[in-house]
Amino acid sequence: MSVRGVLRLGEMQIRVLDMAAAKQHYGTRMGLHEMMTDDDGLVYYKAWAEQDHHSIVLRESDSSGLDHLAFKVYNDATLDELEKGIIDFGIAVEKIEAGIYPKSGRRLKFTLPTGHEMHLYAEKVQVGNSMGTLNPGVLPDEGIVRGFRINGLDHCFIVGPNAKQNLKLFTEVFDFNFTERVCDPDGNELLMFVSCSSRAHDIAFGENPEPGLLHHASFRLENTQDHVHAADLIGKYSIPVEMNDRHGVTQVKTVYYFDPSGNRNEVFVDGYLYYPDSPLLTWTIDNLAHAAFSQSLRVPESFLGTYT
Amino acid sequence: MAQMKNCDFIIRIHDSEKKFATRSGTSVLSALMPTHGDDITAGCYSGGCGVCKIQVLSGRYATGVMSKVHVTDAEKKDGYCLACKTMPESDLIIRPLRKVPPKIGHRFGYLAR
Ligand code: FES
Ligand SMILES: [Fe+2]
Repeated sequence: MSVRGVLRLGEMQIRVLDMAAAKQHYGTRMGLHEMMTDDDGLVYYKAWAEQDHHSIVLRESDSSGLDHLAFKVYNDATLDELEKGIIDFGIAVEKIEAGIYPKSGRRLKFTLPTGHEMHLYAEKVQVGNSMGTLNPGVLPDEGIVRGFRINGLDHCFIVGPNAKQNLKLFTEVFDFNFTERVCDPDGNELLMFVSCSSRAHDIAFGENPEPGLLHHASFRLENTQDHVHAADLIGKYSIPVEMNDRHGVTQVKTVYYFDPSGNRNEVFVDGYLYYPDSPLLTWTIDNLAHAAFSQSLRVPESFLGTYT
Repeated sequence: MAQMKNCDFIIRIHDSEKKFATRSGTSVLSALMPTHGDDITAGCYSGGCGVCKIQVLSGRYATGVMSKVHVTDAEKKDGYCLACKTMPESDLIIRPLRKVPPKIGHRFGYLAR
């Protein structure tokens, strides 16, 4: 398909309680590449296959959670169009000059109806995936693909009040497709999944009384063997696991685990190919076991009850 | 040869007959979780989500890094802590705060399987 608007989830800035422990988790264990530390002590990471300078930013704080999420858009003109759309939707937009966020072009900064800080940007310094662009080959050098063998930041799941307003903003202004939903017995959406790509979700929203909370940050793996390998490393290093299963929703094979500050992470593989003419899929909450964890049919109480 | 001990410390639940034998180096949450899941819930095991909050009523213990959103400095002085980040250094009496989220089935109006 042609993607010429919002491209992908390009950045998440995550608060961590202990930077040394977080660096061991995201860098050494997960195998993300540490790109730089800025003057304020924030640490920047990329997955090996990503072209842009960074996708994960860690900030040490006395609480865990999400500082902001940011989507990359196609070009600067897209930012102008979207700015107008966001303002017309009734949300105030702050314009951030290029360079304020390191390695980044200008940004639009605003608050989602669920209380999360979101940015849009069109430019970020591209450092490449180590293979170059002229006769790049197919495999990077030894040691570049490492740890959990993560290819890239993929999506996130955020919760807060007015989740349906997020859905409206993303589908009507950002031109995302509404792909799947989990509904209560009256047909109200509780969990909503939207896509701007050929995957079943690029972000998901959950209804929750408290605003601004992170359910999880998710990373894409290449294949099932890498998924098994990641789960083996998670066990080897005693990283707390919530579930190793498959989601009915989006059909991805998943492992949910926690970083040392309690932020939920996911690595996944699979999932079906989504096109804009794919039908909206609906799951009813009485079928939550199949929707959430379709192999064990077990939903841990923590899964839809604890956030950071 | 040193005698193998069955346990190092006993954790008692306030206002309850329940007690748990545990070893040094095991968090209060890990000691309780296998058999005490009705009164305490595990989430992140990492001091971030707050679901395992307890108050220690007596005994000595050490705590790791905990999110201040869930345990403020003032609360910490009163013995509040997150069970996943609490390491006993003596026998303990604790009070789980039952900050357990309502069962998913109840929250969403159906009975969990
Ligand atoms: S289980 Fe999350 S803070 Fe203890
Ligand atoms: Fe996910």
